[in-house]
Amino acid sequence: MLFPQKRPYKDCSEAELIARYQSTGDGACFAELFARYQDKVLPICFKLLRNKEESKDACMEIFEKARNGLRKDKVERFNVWFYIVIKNHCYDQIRKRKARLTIPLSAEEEVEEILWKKGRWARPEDDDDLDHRSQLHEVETALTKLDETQRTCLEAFYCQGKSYKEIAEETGYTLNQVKTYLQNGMRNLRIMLPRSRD
Amino acid sequence: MFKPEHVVPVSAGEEKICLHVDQMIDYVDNRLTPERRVQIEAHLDQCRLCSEAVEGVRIYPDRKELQESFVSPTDNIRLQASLRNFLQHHWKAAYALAAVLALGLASVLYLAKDQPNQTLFADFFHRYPSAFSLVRGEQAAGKLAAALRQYEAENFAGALQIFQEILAAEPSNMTAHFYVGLVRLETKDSPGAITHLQNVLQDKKHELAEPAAWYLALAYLQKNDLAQAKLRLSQIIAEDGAYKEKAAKLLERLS
Repeated sequence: MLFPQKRPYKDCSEAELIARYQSTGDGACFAELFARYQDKVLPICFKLLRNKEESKDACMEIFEKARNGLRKDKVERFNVWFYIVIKNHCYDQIRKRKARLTIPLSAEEEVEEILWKKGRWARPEDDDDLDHRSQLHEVETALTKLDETQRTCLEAFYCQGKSYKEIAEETGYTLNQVKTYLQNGMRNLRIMLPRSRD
Repeated sequence: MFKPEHVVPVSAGEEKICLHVDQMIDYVDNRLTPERRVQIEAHLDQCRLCSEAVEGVRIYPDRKELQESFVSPTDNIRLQASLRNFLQHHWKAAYALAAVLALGLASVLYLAKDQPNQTLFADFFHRYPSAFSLVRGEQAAGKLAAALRQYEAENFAGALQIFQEILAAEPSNMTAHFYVGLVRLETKDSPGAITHLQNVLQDKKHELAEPAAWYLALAYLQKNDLAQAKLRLSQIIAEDGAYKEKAAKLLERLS
């Protein structure tokens, strides 16, 4: 049968799909996973790239990156891993296309980008972009000056991509406390980082 | 775009149910009941993917585009998976199909390669009129007349049969050789045409020797033997006969 049923794996769990895709390379498994999350890709890309056409291009590129990456990455929860793939790709695009980016990031988004990079490049010397290394150094310095609650929440949320709930569970703070610490931490960080001032 | 009911995981508790884009739009546009809104916010608290997507939905300029976006990649991969599945189960048929396609492509390329020469042949080949006046001998005349009538009627198979009977009885009948050569050209049997036309040229003084030289050049063109075609055309031009002008034009086109 050339065209079997449209979603042969629609009843499979994520773990089953990931395991099967990694062991057999069966594209239908990846298609099923992707189908469950694909409608998040364009809005997230647009939030970061602020350009419709670039965002649409990014969707296709993310699809390919995820398809290749899932074969070899250790993935426990697809949505968490997928979120990281999307965000990494978008920040790579911002970095590559910075000269062409017509709508600049807001101060908060700029700090968010730097924090995300901090999570990606645990060792700043591994980043070959001197400007990024300099930014990362500034972030490291500013973070040490923050209240510990704010620093913990910022690093978990922005650098590690954790959800409010995960942070609350890990730290023992309430959900509202996590949100408050993040909000205050971001405000203080913006003040301390000279590049981020409006 | 798949609807929310498709996203419900099988293993309850193991996976979280993520929001569909329609739900995100309803949330952003404030079209949810307070209870539903609380449920969605609870999900957003625990899912970075959805919370970021909601922020993106909030600022994306075209809601319809979000709802319709991004179906093709999964369709593509399904097609690839289907194809892989087909190849796994029907590999013999797939290879046979590939072989037939390759053969077809090779044939097309081969034919296309010769196409310009065949066009040139068609431009310069014109049927030679039958020549009753050249017929000699009563018996041969009767048969030759019959053969030429078939030739004029474009019944080349019938004409060929009679010409061959004549040649069986009279192997040196140059008129029969000449017309067999023409029939072979008409039926795209250039090697056969070359053999019979060369026979005519053995008798340089024969009335049909000059047209035989011209049709021989055309036979080489039909065969795509351009070197021989050009050589024969050069000889016709050098002999300064009735076909000199035609030969010069064809040679120019071949150069």
